Amino acid sequence: MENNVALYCDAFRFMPQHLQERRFLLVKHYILILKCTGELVSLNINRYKCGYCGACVGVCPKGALELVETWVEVDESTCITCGICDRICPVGAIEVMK
Amino acid sequence: MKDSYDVLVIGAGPAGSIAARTAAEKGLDVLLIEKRQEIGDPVRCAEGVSKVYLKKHVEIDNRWICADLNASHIYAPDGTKIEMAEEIAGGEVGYVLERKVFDRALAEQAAKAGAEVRVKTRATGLIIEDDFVKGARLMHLGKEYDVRAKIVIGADGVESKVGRWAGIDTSLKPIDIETCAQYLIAGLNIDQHHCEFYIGNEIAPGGYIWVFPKGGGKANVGIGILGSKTGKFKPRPVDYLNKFLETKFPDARIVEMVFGGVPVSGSIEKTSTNGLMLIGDAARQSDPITGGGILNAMDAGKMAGEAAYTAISAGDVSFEKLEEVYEKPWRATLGHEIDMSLIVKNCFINLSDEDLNSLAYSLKNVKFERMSLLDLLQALFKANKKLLWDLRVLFKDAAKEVVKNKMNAE
Repeated sequence: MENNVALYCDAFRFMPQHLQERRFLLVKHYILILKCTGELVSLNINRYKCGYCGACVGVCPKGALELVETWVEVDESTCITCGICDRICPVGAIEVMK
Repeated sequence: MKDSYDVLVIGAGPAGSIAARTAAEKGLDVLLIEKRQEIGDPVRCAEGVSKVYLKKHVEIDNRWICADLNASHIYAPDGTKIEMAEEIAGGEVGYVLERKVFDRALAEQAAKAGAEVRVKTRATGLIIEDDFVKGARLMHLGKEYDVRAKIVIGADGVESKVGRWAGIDTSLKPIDIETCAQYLIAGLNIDQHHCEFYIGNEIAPGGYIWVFPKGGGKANVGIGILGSKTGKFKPRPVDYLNKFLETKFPDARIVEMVFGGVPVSGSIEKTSTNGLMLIGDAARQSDPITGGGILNAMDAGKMAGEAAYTAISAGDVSFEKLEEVYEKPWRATLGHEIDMSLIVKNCFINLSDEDLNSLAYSLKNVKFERMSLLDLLQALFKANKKLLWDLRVLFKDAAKEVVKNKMNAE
């Protein structure tokens, strides 16, 4: 928990003014906010390795992934870091950050 | 630009293009969209199809035929070879296609039939009103706009989102997907008249390796592995493929790399809802044993195109109507075959290498050209009695076929 709070404070500093004003919301969803600011990512996709086949998109139980041409997009707010995408990637380009 | 159509088809693969073509030929106003900027590229396929079934849908054009196969060889883990002539090889051998040209040719046919085509146009969501799908939100070059349609057909492949947006859960579990890697190899003189399959838990757990000739001495060498048999601390498909290439084709030059996921879940519970139909890989209609999906996709595309016409002319696009004109017909034909294949798949993924060897050994000297399905099954299971029990449903099916043939003959 201590660690989380430290992370939260860190993210808070870099937040735009209009978000800072809505402090109460931030406290509640600090993980989400950390994700939005890019301080915390659920998936680390190695773009140099990825073969953009879309297999990960097909297995994602939450529909948090999307394949756009050669780019796999992650919706940080829906990803539950279950790791199924990592498991079935034919080249091993996905790393789940737990 | 128009923003209202009879039918909106999402995805311009074989399923989508055939659906768009069929619907347009019936006189409907059709829009076919493809999220990539090039139809058919990058390829995610081994590109082998059966001759007879392909001819049902398109006239054969040498522009997209790479090789003409007349036999397939299957190798058991210990190297025992089974030879199959093309009539019996499971309907998945015949031609090796150039998908980049083939997919585009199908889209051209849809365009010729009157369908509008938009590439680099991605669906980002559905328009749902009163529980009916009424169109989709599209994005082209960063700009979003709405397109309304009486019926939306989702043909968006393995990574399908359309079904999910409409509340149909199409997500695949690791055991429901084959994760694949493939190289196009050159520099060797590979025989262009037969394809090869290698099975075994050592070389391809829960899947197989294929060698499909691609014309001019080239070949597609690829592997599919069951998603549940790979993972973070296990080798990936690409690792297995490299190992195979090292031992079998050490002098090969890789001129193309292909990756992909193939649904092998068998038919899913629901493939249509109010104002929406799913076809092809999006509806998980690929064959669970071979992983072949092109022909099933084209069949389903044709059915969906016709169903769209029937439903729209009747002025009823509700789930009940679509179930009657699309869902039931495809389940009675394609679906039945898929279900049978699923039984075989579930049985085969649990066989050990010894089992596979003994099966292959019992089939080794059988002349396949003259064999019926029943004889084939008999020969297969002499070696393995437990298999006989696991696959008893197939026997019932084979027996039914025999009775039907007899009745037809009389």
